[in-house]
Amino acid sequence: MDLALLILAVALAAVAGHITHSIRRALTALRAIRTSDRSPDLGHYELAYLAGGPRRVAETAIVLLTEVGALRASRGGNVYPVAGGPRSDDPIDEVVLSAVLPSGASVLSLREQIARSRAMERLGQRLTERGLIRPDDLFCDVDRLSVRLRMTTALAFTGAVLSGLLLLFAGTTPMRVAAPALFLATIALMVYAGTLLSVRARAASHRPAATLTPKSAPRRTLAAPVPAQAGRRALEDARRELPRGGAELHLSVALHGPGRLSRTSDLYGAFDPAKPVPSSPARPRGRRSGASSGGSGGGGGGSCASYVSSCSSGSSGGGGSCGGGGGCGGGGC
Amino acid sequence: MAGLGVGIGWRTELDLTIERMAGVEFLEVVAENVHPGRLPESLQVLRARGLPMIPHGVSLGVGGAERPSPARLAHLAACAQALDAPLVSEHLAFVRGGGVEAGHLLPVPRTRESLRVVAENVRRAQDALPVPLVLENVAALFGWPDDELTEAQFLAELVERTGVGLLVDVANLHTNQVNLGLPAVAALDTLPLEHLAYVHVAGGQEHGGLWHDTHTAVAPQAVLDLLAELCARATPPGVLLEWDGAYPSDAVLAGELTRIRAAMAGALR
Repeated sequence: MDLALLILAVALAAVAGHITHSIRRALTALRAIRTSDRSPDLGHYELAYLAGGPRRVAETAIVLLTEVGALRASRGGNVYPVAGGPRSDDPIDEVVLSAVLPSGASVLSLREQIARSRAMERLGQRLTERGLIRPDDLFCDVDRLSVRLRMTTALAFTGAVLSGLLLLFAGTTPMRVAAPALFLATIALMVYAGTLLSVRARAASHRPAATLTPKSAPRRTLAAPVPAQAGRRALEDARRELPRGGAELHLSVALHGPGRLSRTSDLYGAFDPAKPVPSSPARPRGRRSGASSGGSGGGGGGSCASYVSSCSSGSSGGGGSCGGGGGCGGGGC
Repeated sequence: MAGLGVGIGWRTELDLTIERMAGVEFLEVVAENVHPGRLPESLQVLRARGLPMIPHGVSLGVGGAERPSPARLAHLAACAQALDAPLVSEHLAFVRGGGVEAGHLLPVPRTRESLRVVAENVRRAQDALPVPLVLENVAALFGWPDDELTEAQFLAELVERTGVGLLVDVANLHTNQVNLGLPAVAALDTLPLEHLAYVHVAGGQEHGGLWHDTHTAVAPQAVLDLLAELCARATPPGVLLEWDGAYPSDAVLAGELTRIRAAMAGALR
C-alpha cells in the first residue's frame, strides 16, 4: 500500500508539474503575439466583432440593413426582406439578406444563424491575422489545461483522504501511512495553488467567462473575443470618436450593443429574449413597447457570461467549467 | 356611408410601417388572420388612435349553394365588435361546395336562379352581423358558360334585393377586362355606386397575356384610370390600397397612397 501511494503521489506530482508548465507556455505564447502600434482603420463589422464578438456583428448587420431599408422590422421581433431594397456586396450583409425569407425571420434566430456563418468565421480570422484579437485556440489550450489541473487536484485530495482513513482505521504503524498522506496533501495544495494562479493570470488577460461545450456542441466560439493591444486601442478610439446619440444607429450598436436602441427604433427590445414585447396600446407612436431596460446589453454583446466557447476539441468534454476564469473585460461588458 | 378616406390593408409584416405612415385614414384587416379576443398589439395601438378598421373576410362564400357557416359569421361579427368596425366586407365568390374548398375566390354562376340563392345567403349574413355587410367583385380567370348577367348586373340586383353595400375593386375590374374582355367602364356604369362603401386598388403582373392580380406591385396606370373613372361617377367614401407580399419600402407604399389621392382628385390623365 505504501509503495502504491508513493507511486501515485509521484505520478500526480509529475502530471501537475507538466500541466503547470504547459499553462505557462500557453500564457507566454499569448503575451508574445505581435501587435501593431498603429490604430487600424476598421469598419463597423470589425469594430462590432472587437466589441462583442459574432453576435454583436449579427446585431449590427440586422440594425444596419433595417436602417438602410433592405429589411423591414415588425412587432414581435421579426424582420422581412424589402422588395426592391438596397443590396450589398459585403459577405455579412449577404448572409443576412439570403437568410431572411419572404415569410420573415425571428431576429433572435437570425442572429444565431449569422453568428455561426462562414462569413463570420472569416471575419474573426482576418482580425486575428491582423493582430487585433488574440487567437482563441490558445485560450482554449489554457482552458483545457486548467480543467486537467482541477482533476489532478481532486485526485490528490482523494488520495490524502484515503491515506487519512488508513491512518485511523487500518491498524498499521501510524508513521508508515502518515508520511505518504502528508506528501499527497502537500502535492494537492500545490496543485490547487497552481490552479488559482492560472485563474488569476487568465483574468488578468481579460479572458471572458467561457464554458467548455460538450463534444456534440458546435465548435465555434460566439464569445466576445479578447482584443490584442491594437484592437483595444482601435475600439477605444472608435468609442471616443462616436458622439453619444448622434452617430448612425448601427455604429452605436456595434460599439455598445443593442441596449443602445431607443424606444423609437423598430428593433427596440428585439434582441432581448428575456423580455417579450408586452401590449402597450397607450404608447403614442406605437413602436415596439417593452419593459426592457435601455441600458442593458440585451441578449447580445453585453452579457458575455452567457456565451459558449468552442474549446471542446480534445477537452475532457462533458461541459465542465473552463476553469472559472472571470472577467469579461475584452468586450463591452 | 361616412367618409373613410384613403387607407391600406393592415398586414403583420407592415405593422410598424403602417403605424408611422402619414396619411393613412382607415385600415382593412383580413378577418381570418386575427383572433378577436387577442388583437395584435399594432391594431390595438392604431385603434386607440381612432383609425377606422374594417374586417375583410375571404372565406364566407356567400356565392355558394350552401348557407353561410354560422361559425364564420360569428367570427366576422366578433371581429367587427373587437375592431369597432363600421362595416364588414366579403366577396361575391364561390369558395367551397360539398366540403371541398376551392382555395380561390371563384366567380359565381350568374343566373337568376343563382341570384335567388345568393340573395338568401346575403340576408342570412346580414342578420348575423352587427354592422352592415358590403360585397366585393372578384377577379376571375374564367366565366361560367350559362351566365345570364354580368357581374355588375348581378351585384346591382343583389343590392336591390338585400340592401348589401358595395366594395368595388377596380384592380379586379381591370383583371376581368384583360383576361375575359369584360369592359370595366361599362361595369362602373352599371354598378349602383350610390351603395358604394369603399374601393380597392392593387397592382399585379402580366404573364402570357393574362393579368395576375397578385397585390405585389404598384398599381398600373390603367387601374388608377379606372379609379378616376369611378370618382367621376361617384365620390367613394374610402379607397384602400391592397398589398400582399413582396412588400416594398415605406416610400413606395406611401407613394402608392399619393398616386391614389391624385387619381381621386382627377390630377392624372
